[in-house]
Amino acid sequence: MSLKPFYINDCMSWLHPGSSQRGVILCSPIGLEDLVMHRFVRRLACDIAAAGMPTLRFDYRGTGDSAGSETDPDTVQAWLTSVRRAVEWLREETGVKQVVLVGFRVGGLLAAHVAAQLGDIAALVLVGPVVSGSAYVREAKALRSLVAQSSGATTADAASADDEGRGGLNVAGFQLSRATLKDLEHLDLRMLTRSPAPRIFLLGRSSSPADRRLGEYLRTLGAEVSVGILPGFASMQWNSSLAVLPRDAFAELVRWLKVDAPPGRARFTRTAANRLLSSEWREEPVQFGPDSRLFAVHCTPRHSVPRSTLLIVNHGLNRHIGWARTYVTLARRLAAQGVATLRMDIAGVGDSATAPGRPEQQLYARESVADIKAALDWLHQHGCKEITLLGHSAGAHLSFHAAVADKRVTGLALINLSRFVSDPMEPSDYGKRPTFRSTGWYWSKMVSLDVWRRLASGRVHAISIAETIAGRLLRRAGLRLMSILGRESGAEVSHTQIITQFRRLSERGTKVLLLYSIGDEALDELALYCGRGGRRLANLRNVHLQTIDDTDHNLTSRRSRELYFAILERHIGLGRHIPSIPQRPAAAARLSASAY
Amino acid sequence: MDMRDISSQIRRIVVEYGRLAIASEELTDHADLYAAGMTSHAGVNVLVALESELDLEFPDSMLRRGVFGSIASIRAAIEKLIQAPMATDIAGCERGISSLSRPGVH
Repeated sequence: MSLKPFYINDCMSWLHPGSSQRGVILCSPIGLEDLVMHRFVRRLACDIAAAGMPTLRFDYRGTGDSAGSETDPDTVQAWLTSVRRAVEWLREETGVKQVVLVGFRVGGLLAAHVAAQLGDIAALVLVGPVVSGSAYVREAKALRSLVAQSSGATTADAASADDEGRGGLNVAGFQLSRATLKDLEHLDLRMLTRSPAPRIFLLGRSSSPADRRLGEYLRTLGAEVSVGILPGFASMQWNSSLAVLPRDAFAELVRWLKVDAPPGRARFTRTAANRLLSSEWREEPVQFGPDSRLFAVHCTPRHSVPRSTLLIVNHGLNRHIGWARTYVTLARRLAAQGVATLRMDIAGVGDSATAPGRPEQQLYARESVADIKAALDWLHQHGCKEITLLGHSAGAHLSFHAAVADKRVTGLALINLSRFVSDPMEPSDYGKRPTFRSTGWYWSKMVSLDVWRRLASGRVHAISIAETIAGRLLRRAGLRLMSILGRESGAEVSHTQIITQFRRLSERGTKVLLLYSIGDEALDELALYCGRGGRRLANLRNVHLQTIDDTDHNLTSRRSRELYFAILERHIGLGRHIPSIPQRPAAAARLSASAY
Repeated sequence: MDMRDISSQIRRIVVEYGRLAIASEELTDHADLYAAGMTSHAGVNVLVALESELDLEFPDSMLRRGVFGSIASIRAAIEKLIQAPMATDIAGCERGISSLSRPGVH
C-alpha cells in the first residue's frame, strides 16, 4: 500500500498520487453522511488517481481523525479553512497548475464558497448537491423527526433530545450547535455573485427541478454546467453497505475531470506533519499487516508511557472513528488518563485495503480475526504488553474470537455482541440489515396498547419482527437438540463450546466485560449461548456483565455514552465510580439506530 | 395549482423515492407508506423530491412522520399549505412556504 496519510493544518489527509498537473481535492460530507459515504469518497479518490490526477482527501477540522470537535466554536469557518488549506497544500507541495474541487453534499457547498472566494479553481463537482445550508438543516431536522417518531422496534435517534434544549440539532449522535446551524444558513449557492469555477459538474440524485434551477443559476454566473445522474444515490447517502458502487457514474465523472488536463509531472515532496499533537495526547496513522494494507490510528499519552493499550475493532462497517465519532472521543479521553489506543479498520472496511480475493465490506469473516492478530503483532513489536480488545456488534464477534485465539489479549470488552457464531448458511448481507429488539422486549411491549395500535395501522413491521422471532426460536431449538444429541453440524457451534471458550478466557486471567443495551437483540444471542441474562457465565471469574437502559444498539445518546465510557474505564482499571446520570423521559429515548 | 395534477405527482414521487416493497398499482391513497416499506431515510428523500418538484417548502411544523405516512396525508398537508400561503398562518411555522409566494410557481 503506497498511500501514507499525514496532517495538513491538523486535518488527517490522504494523497492518492498521480502525475498530472491537474490536482483534485475531495471534500467529504459531514456527520452521518460522512460515515456512510466514506467508502465512496475513498473509491472515487482511487479512481481519479488511477486516471493520473493526484487526489487529496481529508477530514475537516473537528471531524474524523482530525483535531478538534464538532462542538468547537466557529465550526463552519473551521471547515471552510480546512478546504482552503488543502488547496494551498496541494499547490505548494505537488506543484500542480490546476486544482479541481469535488464536494459531496455539504462538502460541495463548502467547496463552492471557497472556490468563489479564491477565484482560481479550474473546475467544481457537486455530488448530491446541497443548495444551501438551510436546506441541509431542514433535511437533517426532517430525518431526526421521522426517525425519532418511528417505532421503538426499528430506528430512532436517542441523542436528539440532548441538544434540543440548547437550540442545536443532533442527528445520530452528530451534533450541530446553535452557532453552527446559524453559520450554515449563511451558505447558499444561489447567493453566489460570481461563478465558483468556469466548469461545473452537477451529479445529482435525479434530474430534479431544484438541481436544474441550480444549474441554470450557475450558468447565469458564466459557468459551463454539465449535469449527470448518480443512480442509487439515496442508498449511498444512507446505507453504504447495501449501496452498489456507481461505477458508470464515477467513470463518467473521471472522464469529465480529465478533459484538457495540462501535461507535465507533479512533484511530491511530502513535507506535511505525520503526527497530531495536543497538550494531552499524540496521534499517528499506522499501517501494518500483509502489504501494509491495514490502517489504524495510534493515540498515546503525550507525556507518559502508556499504562496499557486498548485495541479497538470496527463497529460494524463504520470506519475506525466509530459511530458518532465515539472511538476518537474515547481514544483522546483515555490518552489523557494514561492509556493508549489503536483504532483499526479490518481489511475491506474504512481505510484498510481489501485483501486480494476477498470481498469488500465483509462482516463476520474468519479472515478478519487474522487482521486483529496483525494489530496485536504491531502492538507487541512496539512494546505494548497489556492489551484490552474492544468490539461493538460485529466488532465484538471478531474481538471475542481473536481473544480466544490469542493469549496476548489480557482484557476484552464486548459491546452488544450481535453474534457468537458466524453461519455460512446465512445470507452474506447478515449484519447489514436493520437490527431488531430482543424477543423479551417485544413480549414486554405486547401489553402496550400503543403497540397494538401501531400493529393495526401497519406502523410496526409485524411480519419482519415475527420472522425474526421465529428464526430465533428455531435456532434456540436447534442448539438444544444439538446439545442433547451431543453432536454438531456444519459451522454451528453448541452453547457448550462458547461457554468453554469463556471459561478458557477466565482461567487465563483475561478480564471480560459484556455490555448490553437493555432491549437489544444481542441479549437474545447471549440467552441462546449463555443462558438468559448470561446465567451460565455467572460463576466464571473475571467475566462481568453490565447493561445500560434507555438506549439504542449504538449507544448514541450522550447519557449512554458517558455510562459506556465510565464502565469501560473501570474495566481497564481507571476510575472507580460509575456516574449517576439521570434518565431522560422514556419517549425521547426509545432508539435503535441500526438502519443507518 | 391543480390538486388532481398534484395527486398524481405525489404518487409518482412516492413510488420513485419511497423504495416501497409493494407494486405501485397496489398503492392506494390511504395505504400506510411506512407499512409498505418506506424507511425514515426514504421519507426524507420523498420530502426533498416533493419540495423540489412542486416548488414548495414544508414548514418545520410539518416535518412529522404522520405527514408523510400516506399519499392522502401528504396531499392534505400540501392543500393546507396552499390554503394558508402566509407563513404566519401555520402554527409553529418558522419559514413558511416562501416559494409559493414567488412568481413562477408550478
